[in-house]
Amino acid sequence: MKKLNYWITGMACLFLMGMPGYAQDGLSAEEIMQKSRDMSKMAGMESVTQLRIVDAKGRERIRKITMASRDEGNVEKRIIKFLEPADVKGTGLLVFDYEHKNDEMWLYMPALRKTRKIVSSEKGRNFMGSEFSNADMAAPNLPDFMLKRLPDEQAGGVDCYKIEMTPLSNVLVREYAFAKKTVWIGKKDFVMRKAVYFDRDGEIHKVLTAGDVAELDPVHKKYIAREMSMVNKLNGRKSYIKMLQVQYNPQVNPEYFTLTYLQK
Amino acid sequence: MVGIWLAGPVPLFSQGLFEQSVGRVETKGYGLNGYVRGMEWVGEKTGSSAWEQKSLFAEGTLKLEAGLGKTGDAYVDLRFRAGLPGSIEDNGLDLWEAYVNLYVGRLSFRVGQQIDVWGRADSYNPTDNITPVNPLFHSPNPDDMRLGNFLFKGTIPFTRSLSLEGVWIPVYKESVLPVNRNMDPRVNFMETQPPSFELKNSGYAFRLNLDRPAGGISLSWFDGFEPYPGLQFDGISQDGEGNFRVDIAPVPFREQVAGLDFETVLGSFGWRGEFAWRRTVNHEENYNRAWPDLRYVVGVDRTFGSVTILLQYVGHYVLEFTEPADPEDPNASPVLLIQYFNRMMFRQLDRVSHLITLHPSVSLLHDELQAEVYGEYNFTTKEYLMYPKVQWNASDMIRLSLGGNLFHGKRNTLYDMVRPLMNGVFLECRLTF
Repeated sequence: MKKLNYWITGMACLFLMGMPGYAQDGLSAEEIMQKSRDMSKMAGMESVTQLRIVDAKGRERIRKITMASRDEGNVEKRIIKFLEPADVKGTGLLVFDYEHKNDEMWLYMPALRKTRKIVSSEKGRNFMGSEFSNADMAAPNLPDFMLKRLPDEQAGGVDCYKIEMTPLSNVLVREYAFAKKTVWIGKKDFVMRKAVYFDRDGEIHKVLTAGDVAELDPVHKKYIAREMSMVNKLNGRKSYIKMLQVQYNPQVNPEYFTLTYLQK
Repeated sequence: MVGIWLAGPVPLFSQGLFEQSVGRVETKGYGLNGYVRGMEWVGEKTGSSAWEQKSLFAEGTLKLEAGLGKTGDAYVDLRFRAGLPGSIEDNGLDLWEAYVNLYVGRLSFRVGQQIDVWGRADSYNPTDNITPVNPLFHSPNPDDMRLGNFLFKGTIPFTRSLSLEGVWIPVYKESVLPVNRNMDPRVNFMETQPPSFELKNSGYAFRLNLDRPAGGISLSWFDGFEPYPGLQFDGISQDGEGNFRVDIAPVPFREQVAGLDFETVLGSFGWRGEFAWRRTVNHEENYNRAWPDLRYVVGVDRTFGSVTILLQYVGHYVLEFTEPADPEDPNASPVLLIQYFNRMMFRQLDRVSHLITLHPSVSLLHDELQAEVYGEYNFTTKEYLMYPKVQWNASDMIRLSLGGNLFHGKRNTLYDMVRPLMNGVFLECRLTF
């Protein structure tokens, strides 16, 4: 369940990288990544999302969650509730995501009828049994990487900046679960369109593709990618994330982000 | 003014997708889900080393949630059972929970048959005294051992991090004693003598919760009947064949419990603890009652990749302690023997006892397979318990669980007594819809 945090953070980072609708060239790798990160902040958002996991034999598993988020300046608050499968329905997670310190997280488990405060340091694990790992779903902490801008390239027919991200230490390689990652960031909207993950042997481990980019907030020119897929080249498993419904809501109710509401 | 603020209207925020999705709005109507399961439990045969079938039953559960608009919602958990969930055939219907939630401004109320769990520690919760349990109900899910009771519950959120809960327990409902009522033909276990249905016999509890990002802490107070009744000598009678037998009656007793529990995260470690002071009156004259005591739990958990380990220390200090009778004394009266049993049940045979619990768990195969072992060892009484469980999520709907219980204790200890009832291996197949 701790992994949910990374997923939702990933939602913010991977789906919500928006920007005003004009291109800015001549940017450094650091500036491009920072801009993507800064543009991911939203005043408030609500969504219903499906995660589809397909194993190498073609068997499928479906997860469905609903989420609300609210930006309160120094902290972004998120609440997540499981809707499907029925076995885990009602499970909830409350996350306070701070920019300059570790997240605070609470998990409500209906089977135990208890809320637990949990540790948020599991970046290396698979997220909810999918090919999305906690590490690649979380907002990358840019100082953890050596960033290098590569020649621009198209991804999915869109002009993109191409950035290479290399963790600065072996500890960080273990933590983020990749030795190197190349990302393609849309030049016009700063939405990430593609990422390729390499293992320690330099082999391609996973490939992420993002699509169905749409404008969520016309006033502030915020865009999201409503679909993502991750293909594991080593074990043949695939995972798909699809936003079934999404709503920009700067007036999202602050009472959602309390333990009282989490346990309701 | 505070009352007006609490009961007043919540500031208007747009009714969003999130609230609609979790089913707390009028437009949602109702939701229905549940599960069907088959359960087999094979265990140690009483008085022999052979094994026997302890439990074999099928169970269907329907869980209905109904939205009542913005002012409330309702929940019903209905369970149909056929077979032998314990030693007695049960082809019945249980209303596990059935309650209504009402929301008045920031205040919320829950009325009806419900389960309310307090405390932040794992397995040992000395501040959790509201909900009775049935430890003889064999299930891979410990929550199935809880028994719903009719309660009135209210929650007042003073701020987003400070809240007060109040519970009124109008009717006593007992926990099931972990004893084999047919273990000795010379003993006649009578039905529990519940307190009369009067206002003065109701119970109440309060809990003040402070949950800040750095951690949470709760102060609690409980004044009511301990869910486990104590045993009392009720006389000598004759059975249908003219044999004499000792009549033993479970008799509930009142207690007051002041509690404190907390949790926080320090670095990569989660810390939690729970402390409770229990007061009972006239315990020296009424041997069915637990003695005043202090109970305390401190635990730490850490996750290493897919492995999580939880370690806890559980301590118990009996106030005004006196040595118990010797159960092996041939001259000991029935009263002294029953008193010994009560003190064993309430873990009060020693002035101080120390216990360690260890609970490692691992998630494998992309979370399709989970394995865990709960173990505990009592350094004072030398009792131990192991509870291994493996769970395979064959699909999103089908789950198989395999596990077992291993209780062990020296003669005249609680775990030695419950061993024939609890030791065994179980297999459960569950389909959730």
